[in-house]
Amino acid sequence: MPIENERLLETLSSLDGVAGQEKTVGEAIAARLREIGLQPETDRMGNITARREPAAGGSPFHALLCAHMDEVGLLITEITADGYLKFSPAGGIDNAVLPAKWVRIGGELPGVVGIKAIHLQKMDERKKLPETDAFYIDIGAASREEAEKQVKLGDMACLVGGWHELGADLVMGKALDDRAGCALLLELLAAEQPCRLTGVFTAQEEIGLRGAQVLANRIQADLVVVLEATAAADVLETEAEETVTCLGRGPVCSLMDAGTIYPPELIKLITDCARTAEIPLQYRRGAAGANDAGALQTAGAGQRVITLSLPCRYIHTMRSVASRTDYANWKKLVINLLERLSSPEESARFSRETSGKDAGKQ
Amino acid sequence: MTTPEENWRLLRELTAAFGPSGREDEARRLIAAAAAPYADETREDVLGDLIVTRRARGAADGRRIMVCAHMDEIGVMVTHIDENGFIRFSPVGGFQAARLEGQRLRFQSGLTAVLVRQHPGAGQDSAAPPRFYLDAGLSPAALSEAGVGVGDMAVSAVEMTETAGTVSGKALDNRVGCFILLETLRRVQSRHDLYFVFSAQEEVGARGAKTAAFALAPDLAYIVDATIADDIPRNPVVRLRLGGGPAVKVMDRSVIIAPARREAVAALARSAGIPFQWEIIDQGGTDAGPVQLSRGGVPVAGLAVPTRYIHTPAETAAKADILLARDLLVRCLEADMD
Repeated sequence: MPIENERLLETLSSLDGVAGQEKTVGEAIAARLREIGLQPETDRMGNITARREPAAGGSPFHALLCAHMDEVGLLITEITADGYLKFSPAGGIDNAVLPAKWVRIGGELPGVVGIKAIHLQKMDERKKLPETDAFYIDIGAASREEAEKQVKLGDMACLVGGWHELGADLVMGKALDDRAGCALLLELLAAEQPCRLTGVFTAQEEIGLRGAQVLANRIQADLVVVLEATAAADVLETEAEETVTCLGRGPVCSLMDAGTIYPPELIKLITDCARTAEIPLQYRRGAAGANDAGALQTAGAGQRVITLSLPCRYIHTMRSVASRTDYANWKKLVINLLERLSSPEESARFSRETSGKDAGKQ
Repeated sequence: MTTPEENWRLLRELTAAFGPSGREDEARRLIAAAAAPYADETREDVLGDLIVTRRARGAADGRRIMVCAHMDEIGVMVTHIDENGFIRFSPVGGFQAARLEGQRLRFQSGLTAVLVRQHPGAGQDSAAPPRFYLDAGLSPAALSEAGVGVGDMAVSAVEMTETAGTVSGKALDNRVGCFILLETLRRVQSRHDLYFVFSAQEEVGARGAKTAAFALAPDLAYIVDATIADDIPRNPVVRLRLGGGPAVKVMDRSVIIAPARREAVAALARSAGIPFQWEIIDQGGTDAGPVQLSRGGVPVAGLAVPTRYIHTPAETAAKADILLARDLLVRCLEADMD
């Protein structure tokens, strides 16, 4: 099953947007929003917001959909006398991913993460993974002075990865976490919707839900739907009870993670949506990690949140792999959910008016 | 002061109620029913907090006090059921499987299962952290029939036991706080508007108290919780002991109480002849943290019941401390505000 707008996903996934430096991704998203006739607004954290009112006769139910723009990367912390760049990870990156990888600094300057050739390693060095501070980026500069002409401390290096097809149904991209969510959100904003939709492309999720924190102070909705890419662990030597999600088994509904316990009545509604529309659905088995839902649930007097994700292998590397069929089903599920929530019955059940009133100001 | 037998029955019912973080419905219903005769208004918010309003009596001074005790307890959530019906889980809050080996857990549907340490497997690294599962003795189909599936939660299945001087069981953290709030609610005559918040999701990071505090925007807040009593064998430095009176909070990982606030509570205790202990804990945060930081900041104070073996099914507290905490809380709420 094709992704309707696969070019869009490819473009977004390939752009560099390490946490805190999402500008390029934000500009591409804003341009697309203007193309579809919406007015993007950017706040001080770099979150981009666009609103879409329903057609005449639509439901007043207000859904806030969000996807984060940022990806994990490396922040340059030091330039050595030899012209090498030391770095600190921005977001969670496995050191095993780093050695000998091609990086891009500031969206253009190429570099490589240096590693001692196997010939030069001592026996014990071959057996264990180096600490982060043993790594460096080589940009081919001969000295600190030469490197300083091209790089400043605080610049971000982004792992480089292209776009490839893998087998019949899978695609491999650099930053599917969470450009897949961004692409889906753009698709949803481009179409007529049955209720009020606010779409937010958030900044700095990977380093602690920071964009969402500010967003939460500004906008409150009847329901927040976080569109994420989540870890698929259907990989070798992982037992069934440890596979958080699997590729090809449909979109993922979260039950609990480190930031949020999701409301059972919403999990039930989503399960029911999937069953009725014959969309495969999996629950996220595993409670590690957190996403923007954590910041949004406890903002103000609280709001209802749910996370619907695309399962993704090799997440937080530049080779994330996802299924086109899952993507198509993910989209179907979100559209289905919005339709259900726009019915008078569910709209009444889940609107802010029916819960969370200010108990102090009667 | 004596308390009739039936009040300990209320604490027994409170500890028995099912209510892990995010699934507090049963505990909330029980508390709402117990509070109803004394409540001017009762409501629930999005996070699952129960907010019971008791308006000022007599010459109202227009001040608003939030009194908060969390009603959720630690537990587990089912993440996977294998083809033989063995249940894998994730902890909800500070649930330590290693301390509950061999204990029975109960699901909301009533089904119980035993917590078992997984065999490491032939030739496996015995130094690897142990893993656990639940065994209800049922097939996946039978589990489903018994109302247990992925996403459901379970809590300890033990019932409260009582001696002349102590109570012991699961979820004293923090049904003992809920009990104190309910007992206070039926006694208190205050010139302030009182908002009794039975908060949700404290054990996973004080989430309910955060939204309740925002909604209420109180002038002052008291947080009532169970805290660690460490008067146990071979502990060289005992900070809090059973029977030493309620603990008045100085600090925990999430909050430092303003000296004037804790002194105000201490002064009320002294004038009423209520013994108390200072609570200084360097592990664990409480609802006091997010409440203090709500909106432009809220003055907070904390009372706690010293409890041994916190986060086990054998949490143990002294009845005298519980009643004295209640008496002190009533005085705090009836006192004039500066």
